Amino acid sequence: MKPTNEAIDRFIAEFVKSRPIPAEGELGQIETAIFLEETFGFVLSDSEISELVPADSAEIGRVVRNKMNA
Amino acid sequence: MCGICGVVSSSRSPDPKLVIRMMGRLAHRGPDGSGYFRDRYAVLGHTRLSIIDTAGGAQPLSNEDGSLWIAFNGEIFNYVELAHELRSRGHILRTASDTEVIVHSWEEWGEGCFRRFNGQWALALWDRNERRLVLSRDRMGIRPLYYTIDGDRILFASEVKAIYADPSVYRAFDLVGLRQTFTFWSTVAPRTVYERIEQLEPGHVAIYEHGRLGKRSYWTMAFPSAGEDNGRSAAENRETLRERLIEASRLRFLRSDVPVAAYLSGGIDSSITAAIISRYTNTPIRTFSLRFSDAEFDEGRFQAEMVERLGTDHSSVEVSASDISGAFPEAVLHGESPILRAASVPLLLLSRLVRRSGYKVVVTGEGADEVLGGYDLFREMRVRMFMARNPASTTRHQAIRLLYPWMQRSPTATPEMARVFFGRNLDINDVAISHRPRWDSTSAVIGLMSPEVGAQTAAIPVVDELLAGMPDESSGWEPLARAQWLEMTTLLPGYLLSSQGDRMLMANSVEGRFPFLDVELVEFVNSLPAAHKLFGLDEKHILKEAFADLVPASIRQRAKQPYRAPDAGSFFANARCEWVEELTSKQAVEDAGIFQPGAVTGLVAKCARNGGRRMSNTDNMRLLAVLSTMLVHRDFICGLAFQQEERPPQPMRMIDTVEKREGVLCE
Repeated sequence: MKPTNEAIDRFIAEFVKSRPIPAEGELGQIETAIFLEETFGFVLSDSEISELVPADSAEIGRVVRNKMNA
Repeated sequence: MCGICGVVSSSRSPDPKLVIRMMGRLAHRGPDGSGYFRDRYAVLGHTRLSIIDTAGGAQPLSNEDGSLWIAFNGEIFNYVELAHELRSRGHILRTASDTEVIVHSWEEWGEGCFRRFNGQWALALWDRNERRLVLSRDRMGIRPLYYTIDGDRILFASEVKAIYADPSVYRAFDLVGLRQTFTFWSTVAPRTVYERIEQLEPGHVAIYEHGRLGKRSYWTMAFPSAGEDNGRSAAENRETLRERLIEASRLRFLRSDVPVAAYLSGGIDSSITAAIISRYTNTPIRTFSLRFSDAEFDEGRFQAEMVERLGTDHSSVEVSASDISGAFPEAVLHGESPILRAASVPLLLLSRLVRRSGYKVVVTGEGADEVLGGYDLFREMRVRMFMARNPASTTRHQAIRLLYPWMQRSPTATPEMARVFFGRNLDINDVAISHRPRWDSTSAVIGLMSPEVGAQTAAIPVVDELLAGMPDESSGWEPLARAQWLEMTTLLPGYLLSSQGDRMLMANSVEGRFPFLDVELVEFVNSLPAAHKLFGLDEKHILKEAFADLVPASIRQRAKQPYRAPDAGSFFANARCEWVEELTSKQAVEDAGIFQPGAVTGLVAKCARNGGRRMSNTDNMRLLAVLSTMLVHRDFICGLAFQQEERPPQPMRMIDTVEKREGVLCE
């Protein structure tokens, strides 16, 4: 069952909030990718990981919706 | 909390003098008094640490007509509610103790009574009419219970040393038990490291009658299938967790007739339990902490922050390398098992401080990491699964750098070594993907064993046997749930609640109480999807959210720092340690026959050269394994620790139906 847009946004907001000292740069992208794969069950390519913007909830939400609809 | 022991025979009258010796060996578990019950087929012994109904709860204790007797170690925290229910069903209770509640619960509900208990226990019930011995142990394995069957009799006790009070009991290392220890860091019940001595599995009841022992499980860990949730919102789950932990902490703090203290480690778990007690009870809280002379291990700054916030009356003990090497043999004598790190020893010294400060009960945060997914091991699993989804990706291998941010000498600081360690056996379908690297590296200890023993030990398929014992439904669980099952089946009961828990507390006659292992809390948290516990890589996520108001952000948000103590450094940092030299001498190692003398000499020389510093994790484990195994061999297999018997704590109460004597013996 696909999560609703609302559920996606809620998870992502909680993730961003849960990282008081987030890893920066590539590590931040990887940490975000681990979260997204565990939570939403898809697998990101290396180029998709390198395009993640860890602190930007809206941007992460866009990536998730794209993957879920792919 | 107490010590229990006994002998039951299907044909001959057991010797009460043996049980008195057994009680003497359990004196530290119950210094407030002792007692035994004897009839033609059984002798039950008990040493008492009086905590509930200090005036009336002496044991062994019976039902009204004396047909059912009990020796009990532990606490049934819901005994007040059970007593009320039993009275409403016509039972007459003569004492205010939880022990008597067990006797009547057995009469009322039989084996079903154990499912009703919320507590921590190991107990023996002797039904004289049926000539039936019932042994039971709590769900998580908080309290220990060992037994051996020898011909037509069974001997049981809280600790192995009491069983070995009978010189006719066979003594040898059990190679399967050693193999398990040198893989999982602990044996897996029913195994022990002693041949022919078993421990009752957590959550089990055993019945010995007509010379035969039968065992059944009355509780098992259950997790939801992947993708299932409990149908409640995140906020509702946080609220339920909060309510259950508050209730579990209050029960453990208030259900006692003696004052209860709390440990404060500086981490989130004990900070929460101490904060709950402070906020939700009217009793002033007394707290105790461990400090380390070595700053790498010390958490004093965070402890001080919580002490100031809660305004507790606080004491701490500062532990140095020489304190650890000096007390290590005593810790092994109480732990009764080889250990692969020195972290038990400071806890022995901490419980000594508690006892000397006039307390015999402490509440601690033990169990939170297993139940709520707090260990680095679980984060490692997430990282390894991330790597396993595309093993060829160099980007994914960078994830290793997210591990161990707290460690000064982090294994991830050497990227190539870390890649080899965490990147080995990357199989996303491996049910043990969480534990495999650690089990493999721990098994390196076997390489030190003498060729014959080592070959036999290495051939024992302990990992396959453990995995074959996983519940059928576990294949549908989330990977975190499988990792939790493995952790709660091996290390939690076998090491953390034993060598680092019960034994280090009871060595100084102190009872530990663990709110995070409350059955209602465990069952609730186990029912949650994994993401509530490990949210991405954020460990114990729901706990941090649920108690954000009670614990400051500096403690909630600090990188998880597991409790550790200096290992090899403890034995080689300062002056030469005499007992280490004796036990690792070529002659001593050769005589014991377990390890290769040359390999041990080489390892000790390497440690000595470096002052025990900058040793690899594997060498630290190897050294600790050798030292502790040699101590266990000397103390238990050779029996050298018990050349003089200790008398049971006085007064000693005796009920002897064979010689028709009853009374209190004071020597």
